[in-house]
Amino acid sequence: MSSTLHIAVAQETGNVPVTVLYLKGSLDANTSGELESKADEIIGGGNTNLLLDLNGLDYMGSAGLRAFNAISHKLKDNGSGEIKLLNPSEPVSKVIKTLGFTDFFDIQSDLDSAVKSF
Amino acid sequence: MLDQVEENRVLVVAASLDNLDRIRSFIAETASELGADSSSISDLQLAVDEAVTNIVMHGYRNSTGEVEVELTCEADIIIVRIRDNAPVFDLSDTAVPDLNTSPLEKDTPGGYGVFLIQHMVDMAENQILDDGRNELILHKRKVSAGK
Repeated sequence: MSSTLHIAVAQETGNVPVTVLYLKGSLDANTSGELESKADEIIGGGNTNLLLDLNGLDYMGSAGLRAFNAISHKLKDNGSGEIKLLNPSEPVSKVIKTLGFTDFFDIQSDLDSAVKSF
Repeated sequence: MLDQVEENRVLVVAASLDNLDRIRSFIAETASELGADSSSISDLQLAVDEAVTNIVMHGYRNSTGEVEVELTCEADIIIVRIRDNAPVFDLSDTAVPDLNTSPLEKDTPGGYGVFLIQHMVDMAENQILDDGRNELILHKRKVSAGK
């Protein structure tokens, strides 16, 4: 049995095009590479405004933060773009809060507002 | 029933990131049987997941090996013992993470796992067993305080 991470992608439009990645399952050291690969693919396709919906994650470890870091660096290398978080589930919030990182992320609670915030 | 609950529960698996989910499930099922509440269970899952990830990535690195995870309880404390045969990886040798810089900005974010282990459990300590294996011992109260 290995951990599973499902990533669904949707395009939204606010002030700018926003790509929403809906994550479901477990984001750990075994699955974080899948998130990075998907984000690479999206950024490579020219979509650099990324909104990660984290409500469907039943687990996230520090590997999730490393994946967010990798995505952030990819956007920097690309020269533009932003990553925001939407509705982190309780396990995700716990990790972010325990590390004291809440203020370092742009954490949104509503999809429409989040899309328009880019 | 009481005898079964008091037995040691042990899981031995290959030290592979593929087994993280299985280990977390084992922690959840066994800690629940031992009377831990959901908050303590999720804290233990996080601590154990981070510890095993470190064993796989920093201990065994590219070599193969096993990880043994044992759960017992003493009074109101769940005790998790994680044993491996990888080169020594001591918590005290790990650099303190920089928590004042955004994890999105760091060039090489690291140390978060060890920090989480230390903050998710009531006690964490390492020892080397007589057979040469490393053992990480985690203590967690079955029922979370102040929730």
